[in-house]
Amino acid sequence: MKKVIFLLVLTSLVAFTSYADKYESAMTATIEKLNTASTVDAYRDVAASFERIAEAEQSKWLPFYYAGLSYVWASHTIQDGAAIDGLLDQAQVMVDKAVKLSAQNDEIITLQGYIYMMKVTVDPASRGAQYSGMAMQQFGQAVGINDQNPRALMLMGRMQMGTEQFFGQDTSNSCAMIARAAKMFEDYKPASAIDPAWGKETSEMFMSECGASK
Amino acid sequence: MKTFAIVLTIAFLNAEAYCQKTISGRVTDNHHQPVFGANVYLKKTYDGAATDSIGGFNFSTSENALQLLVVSCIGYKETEHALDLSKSQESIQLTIDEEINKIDGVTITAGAFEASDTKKSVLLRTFDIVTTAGATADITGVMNTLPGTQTVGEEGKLFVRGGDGREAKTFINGLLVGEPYSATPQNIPSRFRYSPFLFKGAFFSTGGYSAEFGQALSSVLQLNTNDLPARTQTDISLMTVGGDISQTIRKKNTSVYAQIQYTDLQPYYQLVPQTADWQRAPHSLNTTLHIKQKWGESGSLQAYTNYDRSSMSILQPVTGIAADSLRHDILSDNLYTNIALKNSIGQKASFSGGFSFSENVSHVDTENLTLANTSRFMHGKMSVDHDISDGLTLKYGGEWILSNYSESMHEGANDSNQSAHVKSNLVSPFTEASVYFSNKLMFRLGARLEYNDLTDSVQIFPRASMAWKFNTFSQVSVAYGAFAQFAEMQFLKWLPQLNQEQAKHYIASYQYIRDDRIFRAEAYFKKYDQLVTIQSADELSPVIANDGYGEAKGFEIFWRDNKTLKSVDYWISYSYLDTERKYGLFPYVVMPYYASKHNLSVVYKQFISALKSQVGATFSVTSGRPYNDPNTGVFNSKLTPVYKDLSVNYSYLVKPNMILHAAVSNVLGFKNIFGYQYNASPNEAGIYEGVAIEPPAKRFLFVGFFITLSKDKNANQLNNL
Repeated sequence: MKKVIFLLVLTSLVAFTSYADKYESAMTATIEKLNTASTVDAYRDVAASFERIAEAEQSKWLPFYYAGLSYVWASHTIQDGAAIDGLLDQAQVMVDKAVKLSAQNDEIITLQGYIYMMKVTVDPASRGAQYSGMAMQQFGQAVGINDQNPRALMLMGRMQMGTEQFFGQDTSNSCAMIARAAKMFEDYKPASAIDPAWGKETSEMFMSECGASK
Repeated sequence: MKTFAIVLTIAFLNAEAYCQKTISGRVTDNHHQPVFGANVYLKKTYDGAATDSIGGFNFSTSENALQLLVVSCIGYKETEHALDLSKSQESIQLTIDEEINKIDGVTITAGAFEASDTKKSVLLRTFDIVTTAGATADITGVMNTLPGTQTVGEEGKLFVRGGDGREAKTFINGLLVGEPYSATPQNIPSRFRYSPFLFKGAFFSTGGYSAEFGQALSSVLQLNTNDLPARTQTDISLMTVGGDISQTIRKKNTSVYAQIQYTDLQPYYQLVPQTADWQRAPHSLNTTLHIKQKWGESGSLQAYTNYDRSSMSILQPVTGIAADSLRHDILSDNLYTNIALKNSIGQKASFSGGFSFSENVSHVDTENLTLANTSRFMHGKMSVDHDISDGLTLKYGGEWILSNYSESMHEGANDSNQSAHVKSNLVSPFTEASVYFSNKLMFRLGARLEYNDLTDSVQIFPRASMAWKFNTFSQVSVAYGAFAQFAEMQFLKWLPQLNQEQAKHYIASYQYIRDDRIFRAEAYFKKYDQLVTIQSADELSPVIANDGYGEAKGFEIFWRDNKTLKSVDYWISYSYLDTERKYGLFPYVVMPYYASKHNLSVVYKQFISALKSQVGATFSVTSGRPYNDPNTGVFNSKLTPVYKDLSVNYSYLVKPNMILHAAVSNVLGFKNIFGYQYNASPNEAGIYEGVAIEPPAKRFLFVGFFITLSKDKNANQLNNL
């Protein structure tokens, strides 16, 4: 009988851990999908999956963060300005929800800056002045909270590089910033398996732009 | 063995949880159209899918009991459906209702021009105000390139749809501005006092505006001040007409902005000859203090104060005596304070309002005559926007406007003094309901009730408008409204019990917006009543009455294209106006001096990335305006020549924090005549002698250099937009 009780406890324990694992495994699987998505529809599907997890969990900021990130990445795949704005609006809704669950979070603030950065690309002539300032402010704030956040530093460097290129200025400052971010990525350990870990490849791409411009 | 059986059962029970069920179906909207990208899922689970392009969804779940199926999609109301998963499921048909979108859905466009960076389909962007050639960052100058306005070169003010300049009112954060234009001598164009850098958005209405706005017969220009600035910074401007320095300090929830500006046209006038005979060019000292404070989650409090003192001296003919010029010394002091607050009341309502105070004191000294006048306005207003239901928004509130005007005249020759004074109170509650039947059809009905103590009477002014978006790109809208405005102080001082002047607007508008191309056509009819007439020019015993009237009708076309040519943005405005009125000294119904039948503006802007430059050009043509030549014996029967102007501008980003801007008006040197001024009595040959009213100089050249200093090296003054 003792054996039975032991086995009962064991199975229910397994059931319980499998429930807790359910969140992590769902997140891991969806993050995997996010990393392999390449079309706007695929990104939308991924964003919808993250939204479902977020709505079911209610108190976790990460699924909202990833949903927002999915929409931002989706905006990279298309050209139409109005459609980009539409995706960025959806990203903004997710970021707003994430901020409510976790204030002063350097990852969420970085994502907010990323949204502003993408807003500029739709209409640089009339939006550049306003949104690039707003994006820089967000990146600056994120670095202020956590100066070891390579994503904040990398995007800040890229934003500054864009301005420097526009003015035909020396990009060594911004490239140094990107290089520092790239170095951080080399032995970067995310806080958990599902915490933001993206950016290494992006930083390498930015680094190659630095190489090309010299 | 027994133990094993139990364990096996438990394992089996667990395994049953992995028994998957498929749920599939289709989502359509209330017009039976498939909804793409809707998220369909079981509540409190991760199980679900996004719909495909034909609205279909398909997912599997291991849930087994009664569940709630949620459908959520941006732009639609979220819905939940009960689903019993213990039974087998057939394909599920789901319908979701559109959410009323009050920002990007159907809106009243009749008479409305909005400049905004937040809304998607706007006709103007805030950035346009500083980059339009011919306007040199003058808000009025930009509005004058829009349909519905008539160029009146010697005034520099807004004249809308056959209305006099005083019929167009300016509001900052919903609060009245007493004197929005700088002081100038007669026939010298004035400028708008407030810098476009102060505002994040503008709403310019050429008719049919909301019940919230009163005391304007023709037009309303509503400006909204910026939110908290991004950073602490110092701005320095060096211009051919002067310079300014400002400091912005940003704390977490507060910001303070202080500016001091000095302008003097003397050096410029010495280099570039002027047709006007200046004894001392206009010079002014201007100071601004602007404090902003965040209030809770979404509210704000702000206090703006601007003080300006300008003076100038000019040799000019006195009205009615063209041959003899007299030295006019003009001194003007202007103070404006605006305290505005807004916040939300729960989830469904918000309020905005505040208080403004305007004071304008002007002194004009000629050889032996001194004229001084002071006008003061106080405006208090509070307005609530209340979302009663998804499709019904109610606006209600009230305002109080106190006007106080006094003038005095001192004649040196016989040491005589005369003075006059008039004061009025206007109290007005207003309400307006916006009813949305769908994202395609809406109505707005409102009214304001006005009590004024001069006539001790109460009047009601109704407003009604409707908009119908009949396909994705096109919409029509119609508007009607009754409007009133106090008679001019110059008349009220003689006869305070004069009725308010009245106008009725009827507007029909069509708009098409697709991919950065906008087309708008609008037709209107406007009827004036109770206009004030004066029957004798004799200052001592004039006969003043409310027996004037008039009408204006016309149509306008606007086309803006930001897509066809890369990096090029241009717009074309054409206005046709047919108007006549009897008012002031007019002996009968006639076309007024400020009206012109045809007005055309073409605005062109191009951004050249390689040169870090923006170039712009504005071409305007205005057909002749009537003027009164007493030699003809028929009032206002002659027309001035056609007015033409080509202005260009150039902005260069020297460094991220330095902007160089240059602008020239009338580059081609067209000769423009705004009218003629005649002697009051004929010469010996029986002919009234006259002089042409011309621009103060053929061209105007402006060069400015703007520097921003902050920790963020990339910031510049355009960030304020």
